[in-house]
Amino acid sequence: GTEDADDEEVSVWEDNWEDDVVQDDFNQQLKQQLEKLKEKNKT
Amino acid sequence: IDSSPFKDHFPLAQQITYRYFVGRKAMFDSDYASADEYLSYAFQNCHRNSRKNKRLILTYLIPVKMLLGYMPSKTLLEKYDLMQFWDLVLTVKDGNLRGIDQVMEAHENFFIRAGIYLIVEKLKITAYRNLFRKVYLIENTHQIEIASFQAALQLVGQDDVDSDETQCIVANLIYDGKIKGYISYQHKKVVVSKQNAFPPLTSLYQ
Repeated sequence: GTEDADDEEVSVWEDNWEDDVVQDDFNQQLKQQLEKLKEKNKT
Repeated sequence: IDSSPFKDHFPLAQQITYRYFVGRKAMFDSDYASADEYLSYAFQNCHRNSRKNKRLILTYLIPVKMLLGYMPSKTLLEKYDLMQFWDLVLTVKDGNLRGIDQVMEAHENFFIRAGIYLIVEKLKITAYRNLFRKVYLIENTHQIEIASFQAALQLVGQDDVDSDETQCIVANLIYDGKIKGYISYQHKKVVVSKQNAFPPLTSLYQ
């Protein structure tokens, strides 16, 4: 029965992986890319 | 079999095997909620000493869970020697389409042999959603230029995507319920809902 199941494996799935404020490399690159676009639109 | 009154009388091992195959079938039928149910049962009830079988179940359960918005933990992937999925998790979270292509190329044999190459490919839709959500957060406005999304796509290697194709991707995400909003063709903007513009993926399949 279920006593064979690994208890530690119950919480192996993360549903809360979306951060609102991220300052990692990828976000910085994206920010720069969007700023570049705005500069281009101004000129 | 599900409607049989004797279905609970079969040995556990057979019930696990049965659910593993029904779960896989559901996955290929794009019925991810059922696939999750069956494969999760198989995984949780599979004996802890059957590492090989648990790993096999996970090979299908992980992409299903990811499509439903649940990411596997690194410990889980390490434990079952399934680190092929780790880079996939990171690139999907970022919406890094170029990264996904690189991961799929690097582990092409693994994904094809497991028969999940096309399922993994579907995670690109999630990636588009995650990328556009980042654009939305950076722009911090409810009216986002199509050009901004297009610029983001260029950053992740989708240089050949023009404005029309960008709109097409956005339209599909809106249709899927992954973005709440509409496209203003006149202003070349996407107007998103003031509340919950990008609903959590986990809320979409309940």
